[in-house]
Amino acid sequence: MAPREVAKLVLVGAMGIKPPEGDILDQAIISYIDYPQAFFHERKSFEAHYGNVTTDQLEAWDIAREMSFRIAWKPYMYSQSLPHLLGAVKAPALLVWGDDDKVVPVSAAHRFKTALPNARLEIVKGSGHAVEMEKPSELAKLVMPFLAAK
Amino acid sequence: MHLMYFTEQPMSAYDEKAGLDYGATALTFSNKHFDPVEGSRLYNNYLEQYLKVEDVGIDGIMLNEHHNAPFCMQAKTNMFAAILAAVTKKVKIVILGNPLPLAENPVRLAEELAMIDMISKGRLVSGFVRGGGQEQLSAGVNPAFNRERFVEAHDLIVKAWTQPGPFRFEGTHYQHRVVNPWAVPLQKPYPRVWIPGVISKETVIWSAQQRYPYIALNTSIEDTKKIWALYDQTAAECGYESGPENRGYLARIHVADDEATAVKNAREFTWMQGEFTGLAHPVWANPAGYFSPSGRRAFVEFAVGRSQNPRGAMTFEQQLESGMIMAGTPKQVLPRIRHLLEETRPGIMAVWAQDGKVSQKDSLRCIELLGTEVFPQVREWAKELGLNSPFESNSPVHLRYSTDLKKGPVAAE
Repeated sequence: MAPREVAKLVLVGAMGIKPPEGDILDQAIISYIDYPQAFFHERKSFEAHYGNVTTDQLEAWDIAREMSFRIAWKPYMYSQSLPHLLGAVKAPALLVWGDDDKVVPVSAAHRFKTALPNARLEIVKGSGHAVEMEKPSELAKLVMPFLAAK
Repeated sequence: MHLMYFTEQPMSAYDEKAGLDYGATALTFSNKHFDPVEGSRLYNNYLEQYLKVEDVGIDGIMLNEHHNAPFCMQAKTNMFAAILAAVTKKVKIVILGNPLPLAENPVRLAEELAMIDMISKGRLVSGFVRGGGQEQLSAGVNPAFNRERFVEAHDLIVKAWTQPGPFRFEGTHYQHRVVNPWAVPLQKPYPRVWIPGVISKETVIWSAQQRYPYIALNTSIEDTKKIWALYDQTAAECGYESGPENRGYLARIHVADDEATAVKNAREFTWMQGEFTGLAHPVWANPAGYFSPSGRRAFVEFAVGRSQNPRGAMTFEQQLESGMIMAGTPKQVLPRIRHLLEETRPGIMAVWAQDGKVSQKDSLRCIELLGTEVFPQVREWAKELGLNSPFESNSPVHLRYSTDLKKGPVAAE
């Protein structure tokens, strides 16, 4: 890590830390479609983005799944060291979480906020894990002024 | 011909309705449905069956292991192998096999297997497998590294068996400061290694490259011939000619004194709702990275219900008709076995003789009939057809011990 290289940090439903309460959703034992559906607060949001899922899409998800296993199988999707390293990140950080994140429990957001010395947490109502897909305008309204501020 | 007996060791006393209600009988199907009183009874039944196998003169006992599911209650194949090493005198103890990628410490496996070989006075055949997909999940082992771990664990075990310690091993997945087990195999250069499998081409090629016999697990005659064509081609590329001593076959055969009993009992081969490993979510059986990349597209379509299982799904009647399951009196099954021998020419044959809820009495009678009425004829035919086992042909344990390799074309400098 090179914390001085980072001017500002935006984390949206980020993995990487072991949630103090609950677990990061394990994609290994659920289907290719159930897992991405869990990224959304509402089923219709999933359908708006993926419609009838194509076989090409399923294949891409299987490749993504394999790569996730290669890099973050155990412990699953988090690092034991990261909370300690984050203390060196002095840059302002914006944490954004959906209030219905079924993939990374919101307890992880609070753990990030504690670990990062200069962080603010915003919860987006009516959103699941994929805030950028389910509530893009709300996310933009949070991110743009944060990045613009001096 | 090497003839052996196999049972999956089914946990037949589990609550079937609970499995159907839950919709799965593997991985996450709760072990609150495992009754240890029944478990104790069944383990001892299976031990009694194995002793009967030796009594009736069958050459070997094939063992395996699986996890988190009632279709097989043997959770550690080396446990039964160790028991059999002590309580039997003549049978080969054929482990097919230890799931190498699940091991965090292959040196420990090398030690256990060496102990079994010594206690049994050299009767161990040490097969290795990749482990089922859902076993990667139950063991918490990365499915994407399954094949790499398989090969690396194999190499480490063989090194521990054949090279004096201490040595250091720095692999990609296994690192050991000091490898120096104080238990080495009795058989030299090391116990025979046989590799069972179903469809993975990569495993067939790897087995042929090692010159390890490949045991086709109840594949159709047509698929079995494809496996041998690939094996033979790879063997030729490696400089040797493969034959029956490189070929094994696992058949499902149940015999009884009358046809009606045999067919009724054989139906139990489909006791797990027709699935070998019971009801399970497709992604459990093939977690991402575990399967051959060439099968990725077909698999994802199957996993979401858009296509049939690439492994096929036949009814019991279709399996009887095609010979994938054989059932009847010894006289009735023998012609079918003869056909199988002529078509696939194995030097090793395992008979998976019963499954599910077949009574202990019928199981023991089946073993007796196999040993006294079926296998003597199979042995005669095997001699006539030249189907020699690795023991009969004294084939090398590994390619590196070959003395008959043809020199291939030399590459230009």
